[in-house]
Amino acid sequence: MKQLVGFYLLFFILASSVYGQDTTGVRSDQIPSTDLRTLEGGVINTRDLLSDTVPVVLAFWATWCRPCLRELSAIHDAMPDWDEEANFRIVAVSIDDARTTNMVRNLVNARGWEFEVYLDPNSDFRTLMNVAQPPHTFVFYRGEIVYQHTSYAEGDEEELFEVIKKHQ
Amino acid sequence: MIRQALTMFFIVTSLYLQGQITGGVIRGSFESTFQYYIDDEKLNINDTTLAGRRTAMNAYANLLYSSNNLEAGIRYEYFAPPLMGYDRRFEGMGVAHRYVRYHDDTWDLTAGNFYEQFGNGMLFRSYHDWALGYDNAMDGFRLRVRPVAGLSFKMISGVQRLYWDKWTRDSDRGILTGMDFELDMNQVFSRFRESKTNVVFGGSFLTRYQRDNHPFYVTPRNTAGFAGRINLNRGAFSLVSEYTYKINDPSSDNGMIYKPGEAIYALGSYSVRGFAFSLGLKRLDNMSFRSDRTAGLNDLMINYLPAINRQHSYSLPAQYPYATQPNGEAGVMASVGYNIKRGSTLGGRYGTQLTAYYSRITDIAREPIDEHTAIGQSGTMGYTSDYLAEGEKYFEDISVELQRRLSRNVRLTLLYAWIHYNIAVVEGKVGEEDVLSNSFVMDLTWRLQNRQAIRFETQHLSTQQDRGSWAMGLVEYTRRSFFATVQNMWNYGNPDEDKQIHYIMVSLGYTKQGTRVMASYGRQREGIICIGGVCRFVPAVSGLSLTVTSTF
Repeated sequence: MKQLVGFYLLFFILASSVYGQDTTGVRSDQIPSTDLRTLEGGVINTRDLLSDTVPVVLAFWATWCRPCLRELSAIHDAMPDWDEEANFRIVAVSIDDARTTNMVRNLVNARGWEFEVYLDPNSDFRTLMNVAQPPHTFVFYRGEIVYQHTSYAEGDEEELFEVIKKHQ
Repeated sequence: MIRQALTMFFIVTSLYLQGQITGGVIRGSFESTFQYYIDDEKLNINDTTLAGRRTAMNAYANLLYSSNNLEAGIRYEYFAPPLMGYDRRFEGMGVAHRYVRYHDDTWDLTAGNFYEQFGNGMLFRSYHDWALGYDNAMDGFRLRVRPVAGLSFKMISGVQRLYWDKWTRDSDRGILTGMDFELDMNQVFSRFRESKTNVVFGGSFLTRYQRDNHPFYVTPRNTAGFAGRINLNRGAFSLVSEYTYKINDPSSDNGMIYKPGEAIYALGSYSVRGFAFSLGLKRLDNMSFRSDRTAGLNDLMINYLPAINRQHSYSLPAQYPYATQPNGEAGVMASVGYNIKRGSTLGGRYGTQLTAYYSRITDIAREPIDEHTAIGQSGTMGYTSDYLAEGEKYFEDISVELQRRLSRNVRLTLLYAWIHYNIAVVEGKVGEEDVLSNSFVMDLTWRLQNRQAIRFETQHLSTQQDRGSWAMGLVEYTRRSFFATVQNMWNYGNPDEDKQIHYIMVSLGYTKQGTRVMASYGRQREGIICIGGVCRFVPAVSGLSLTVTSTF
């Protein structure tokens, strides 16, 4: 029991230190830096992805994760309408490991997804972003996380689009 | 514990103060699962079988500091005791992971714990999977250098994590040292810059130093492995391939034979908008590679040997997953994805997606090395193996999936899967017949007003072997951040009538931004969960489970 109390005390310390910090003025160069793979086998650094001045949606997903596929399909279906109303960028990061990472390109092409897709086969970026399980979606605006959401329920993409519109 | 918490407090405070000065950020996450097990006569769960483990909890807190060029991280873990199905050696708590990292455009240096992968991981992969209870983190250093864009080198050295065991100089856990390079021809050489073909080469080397401690055999102190890979891309075509070789490594896994190991993996694909096709092959021969040649279970694995079959996400077909057999297997797979256009007769108003998957995995063929030596005899070269000959069948499956939006608010997924599963080899249930199963899944989602939705899932698996046939039904209701699920899995075909059990589970959950809280109550059936070559057995349990996950 004493140990349990200690554990929660520890968590409280961690959490309060984070909530206490001043996050204003965070710039894109303070996003964790690591390399992702492109679908063509090249390499791209995470800081290059998130330095944009338009809202950047960063969605962690995997080919074996059904809610992730539902979320990205919903975004894909909504994109023609969203494009008319706002400027934004969608970046989908697959955390598929060596077993399925080489199948991602096929899935993306077969479904005709037009947003950017990158690979994180050993979960380096996922770990740096503290993502427990996919789907987990962040919105970055000028280098700051302005929104995040874990899991996917039908219609969650509408909330995402509200955030995008708010940050134009 | 209090002292550890205070130490953490000082680390956090100093990182925090540091953050104020250089403008870095601190982020973290927290996850905790608590379970309370109740007696269940049908599952034979009572005071005696629980043996004082009526409650269990797995939890971690993760904290990460990052600024321009510096990064530091720490993870605290708590298993008191670990949830049923997790390795008992996790029991305890403490700082399981800590590191510091410096990086700029050219240099990237990590000291402490880290995760890394060379190529496809068949020679070296260090990773972490919390849900699976798997962590083979390295403790040592890693250097990555990128002299020019498109060319990179990695160097690593260290020892792997083994639960809470401290590594000491007389430990039997080996020291790993390795190197990897990758060259992107199109980025590095100007003459290839405009080429339509992208070519990426890579190569790795890794050696394990371990004392020669075997009572009978002389074992190599340094066991080395090499790997070479090439990735090609041209328009719609792509090829990913890797070859790995390991020198003789007599171990408990291979029965102390001196045969070198090798592995080949290749996947060719053709994909255009609306259509994709892949063909893959894999062959492994004596490729188990661990930090300690006497280790077993999921301990101290150095490499990762991905399975080539489809990873099912619906629970009934997923009850027969395949686990890579590192001592030898050969497999092929093929998959097709096709998007029937919107507006066509077959495609319907919103289009229809079809996917088909096939895989077949067998043992490799083994022949004796000479007439006086049995196959696999300890202290010998073991056996010879013909590349083209096939051994016992381990696994075969065919699956077809259809996804279609029936109307603006209704979406349907249908899945059929046929699976041939060698339960004697994969689960070690020696003497049991191969399982032949047919599964059907129907998954229907209705979107209602006000961001509400209802999802129905029905599944059926029929088989004459193992535990017989199963039926499953699930209803899920979601309203914005809230969800509720009721499911029943019924093993109605179990040959033993007492085991025709209903596994009923009720779950409630709430999500707010990066935080998710979930409670469930009911029965969970036994089974194995496999991710890649690593599997975890989940025993049948009954009770209450509470999970909190938070990313901040």
